[in-house]
Amino acid sequence: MKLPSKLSRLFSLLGSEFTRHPKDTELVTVFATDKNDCRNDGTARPNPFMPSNRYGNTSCYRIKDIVTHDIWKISIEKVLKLSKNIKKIYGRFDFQAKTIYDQALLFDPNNKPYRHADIINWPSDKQAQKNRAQQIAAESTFHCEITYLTYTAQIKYDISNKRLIGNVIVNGNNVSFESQLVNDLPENLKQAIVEQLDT
Amino acid sequence: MSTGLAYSYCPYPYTDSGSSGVSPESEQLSVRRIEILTSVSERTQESKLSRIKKAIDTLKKLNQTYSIDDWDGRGALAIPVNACEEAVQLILQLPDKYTMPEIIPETTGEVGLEWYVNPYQVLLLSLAGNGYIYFSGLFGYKNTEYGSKPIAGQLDTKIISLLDEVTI
Repeated sequence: MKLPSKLSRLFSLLGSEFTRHPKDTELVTVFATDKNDCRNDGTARPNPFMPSNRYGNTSCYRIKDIVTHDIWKISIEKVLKLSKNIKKIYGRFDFQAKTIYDQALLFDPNNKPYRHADIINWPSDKQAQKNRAQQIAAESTFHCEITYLTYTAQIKYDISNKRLIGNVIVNGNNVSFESQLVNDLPENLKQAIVEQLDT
Repeated sequence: MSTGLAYSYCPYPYTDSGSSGVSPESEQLSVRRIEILTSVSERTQESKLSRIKKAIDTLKKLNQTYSIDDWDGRGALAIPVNACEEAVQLILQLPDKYTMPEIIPETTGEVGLEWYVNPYQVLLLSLAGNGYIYFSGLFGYKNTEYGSKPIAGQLDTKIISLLDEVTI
């Protein structure tokens, strides 16, 4: 009886990395879910960092020791697919945990789902919140090269004209096309279609 | 702008009488100068009007797109019509020397008017439709300001001074 208990403690210790508070230099990310979250020059606006009106905190993910592909996988599997009102992931904003501590904010490292944390301890005044969010935005770096694709496709191949007719939804974003030559399509979309046709 | 402004910039006295003591060539030049200045001032006014029209169109679209709660999937509040109306009012009050801001929806249910130079030099004026202008800005590294001012017939001097900070 003792062994399972020890094992369970060991496993809980092993799995507790993301239930501890992040160190100053640890990288954290917030996903952009609205086109206005970032400016044309790729800098962040305060919106994505503002605490949710529903829960009073800001949802973020810890991206320490993770490959880029898996960060985008989180954005699609844990963010896009779990909220009916998020239509698209536009990118992500990375920043160091210190940026949060500098604003007298804290992390709730709940690790639910895996790697998730909430930014808490926001002041109650909306303008004070916005001012802190502006400062976090200024310190963050935008990335938009989403490499993780999920898609549904309805495609017909017009043999005589060598054209594809169909509709593909990639990462929740409708990129429908009609009568477009296969070679005109973006490489990642072509790959998605080929995989779909293979299945 | 009236042609009066153009006259004031004219270095030569212009009169309709032919006895001005100025040669016909230079009188023609003066007339041409006035025409050019008038045309420039008309174009400036036209461009301001078209910028205001563009801003109003953006606000109309914003009102349509962001008028329901949770538009960002993170619990954002709907933007009320009053907020858009206040934004129009503020844009109309904006002195000519300032550029038109970027108009953005805010998760707090406000219309945001953003003047952006760089990430550390940015001013955000927010309108919630409750008679106040809320401001928050960064004016250099660690130099920040935020607060609110009631909306009046003219832009508050505090708001003007903040706009000056982000105007090159």
